[in-house]
Amino acid sequence: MKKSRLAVAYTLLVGVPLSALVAILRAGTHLAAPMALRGNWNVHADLTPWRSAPCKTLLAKPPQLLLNVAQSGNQLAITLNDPEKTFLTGTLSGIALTAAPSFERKDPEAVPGTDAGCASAQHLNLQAIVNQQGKLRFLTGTLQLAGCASCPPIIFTAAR
Amino acid sequence: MRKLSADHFYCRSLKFNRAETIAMSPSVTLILQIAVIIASARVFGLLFRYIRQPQVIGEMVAGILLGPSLLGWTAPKLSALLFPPSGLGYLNTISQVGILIYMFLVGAALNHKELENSGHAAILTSHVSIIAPFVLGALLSLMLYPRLSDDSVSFLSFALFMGAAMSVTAFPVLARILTDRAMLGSRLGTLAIACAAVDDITGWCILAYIVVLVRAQADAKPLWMTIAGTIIFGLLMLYVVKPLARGFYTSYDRQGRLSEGVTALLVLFVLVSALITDWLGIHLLFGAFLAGAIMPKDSGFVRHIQEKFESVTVVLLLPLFFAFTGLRMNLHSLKGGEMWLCCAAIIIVAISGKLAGSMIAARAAGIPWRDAAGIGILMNTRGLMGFVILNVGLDIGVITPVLFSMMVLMALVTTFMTTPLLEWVYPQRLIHAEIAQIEVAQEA
Repeated sequence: MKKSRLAVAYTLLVGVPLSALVAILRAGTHLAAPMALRGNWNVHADLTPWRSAPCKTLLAKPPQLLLNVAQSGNQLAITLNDPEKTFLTGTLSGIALTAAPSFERKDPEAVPGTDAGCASAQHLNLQAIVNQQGKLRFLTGTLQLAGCASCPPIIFTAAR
Repeated sequence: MRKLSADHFYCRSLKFNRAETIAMSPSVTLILQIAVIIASARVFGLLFRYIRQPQVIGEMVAGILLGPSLLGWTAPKLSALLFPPSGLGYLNTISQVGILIYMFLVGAALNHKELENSGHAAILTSHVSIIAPFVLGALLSLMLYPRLSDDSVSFLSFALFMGAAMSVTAFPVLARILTDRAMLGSRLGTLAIACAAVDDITGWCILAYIVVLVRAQADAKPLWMTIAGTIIFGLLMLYVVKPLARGFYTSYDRQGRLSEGVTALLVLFVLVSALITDWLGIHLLFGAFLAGAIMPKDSGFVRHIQEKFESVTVVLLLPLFFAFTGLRMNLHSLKGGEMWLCCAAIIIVAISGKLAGSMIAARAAGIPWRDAAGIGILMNTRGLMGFVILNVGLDIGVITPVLFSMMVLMALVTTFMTTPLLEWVYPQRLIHAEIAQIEVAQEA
């Protein structure tokens, strides 16, 4: 291969794309991605109302409630203490977070009386707002159990 | 140890929520997991060989199918029994050891002299085969970053990672495909191997930089210390340890094999190198790869090392890594048309960047169109190395679980398409003709 041809090929096939790469990396610095929420959050809440049977089994071994968030852009997957019982999927819209079980599940074990919702995460809902103080982020929101007569909404705050 | 709570469950089928688990001791669970994984890998490996694909692709597919994309979706209770979250830590650790040894073998198989002997065409093709997909990957990041990332990752890290993941070529899988098709000694095979070697080294250097960049944001260790430490370590390995490593070859040359004591020393050397790079703030795998790269390149010695380690690594440990990758991948997490559009865009960009980029570069270097197309097809094989890089990316948090699933799918598609495309562009009869021609020329 002639050196002149090699030089032209290098300029076109290597030099030009490298310049384009620099331009792309510069352009990308102006892009904004959703707020990062992934990781473990320590939840502070008064869980007394839910500790009465049968709801106490849902959040598995309090006293400390741990919220784990996996994130892909605006999509969230959330578990509360026991991932097998409380697996929620949610979305982040700006600073507002909403999460609920993403499928309707008929659970024959979760039927007893009016407190049916307590036995599974079937009716567990989470709504929260993300607050920021400096580099630290906090969640403030409510946990609700639809279908459970004796379970009032619980207000919580969470910090990483 | 990676966290396996919501991240893990994110990768599980949404049909599965509360599985009935049967209590098993961790060791029984692990042995059961290994047995199921090896059996599946063997079955799928044979099936893929039957359809004229390399066995390793079948093993990769088996790993994916054992995860939430199929097993967790169709049989959630069985999946929970086999792969409970609490039992994945051991599987992960063993698979990491396997991939560590495998990276050492990949490094040992690399030989820069192959590139030097291939001339300007190889140099131009290899450079373009990195830059073209890299730039397209970075360009695609403009679309993916706001949709699939978050603000804990800078655009620079994200775009560089996407570029690196797009530009990698699976050197070992490529070598396997070329061997299976008896193309290793052909002009096309030699050129492809040389280019793939350069791609791998460059890809790993870029990845090392990204890992440093990302970890520097979280670690207490200053960035300059990591960079300076890495450079010093690299120089030490090249100029101090490399001459000493010839001792391994001398021992092999004297006895015709490596004794158990020397083998243990070699393993120790790989582990120490891996630990140093991890301590420096890059990744265990870089140390293992570098340890392999500085090994003496005598073909008999390299083959001996490969034979010594490969059987346990390929038969036992690599399928575990594929299965662990499969457990982290969930196609059901790609919800909605937009996500599938992103996935399609990733696959198209990956193929056009690598395949078309390499083909055009090879043609510009004076290689005939058919050979140039063959080079493009071969360089597009991402396979195992793609899996390794993507797992590193997920570990350090530069990519998210959904993007990981998309990229794994891309790596699978680009690897799977290699053999049929190559058969179409470069049929077996042409290979036989070329090899006969070379033999006649050698005899003359």
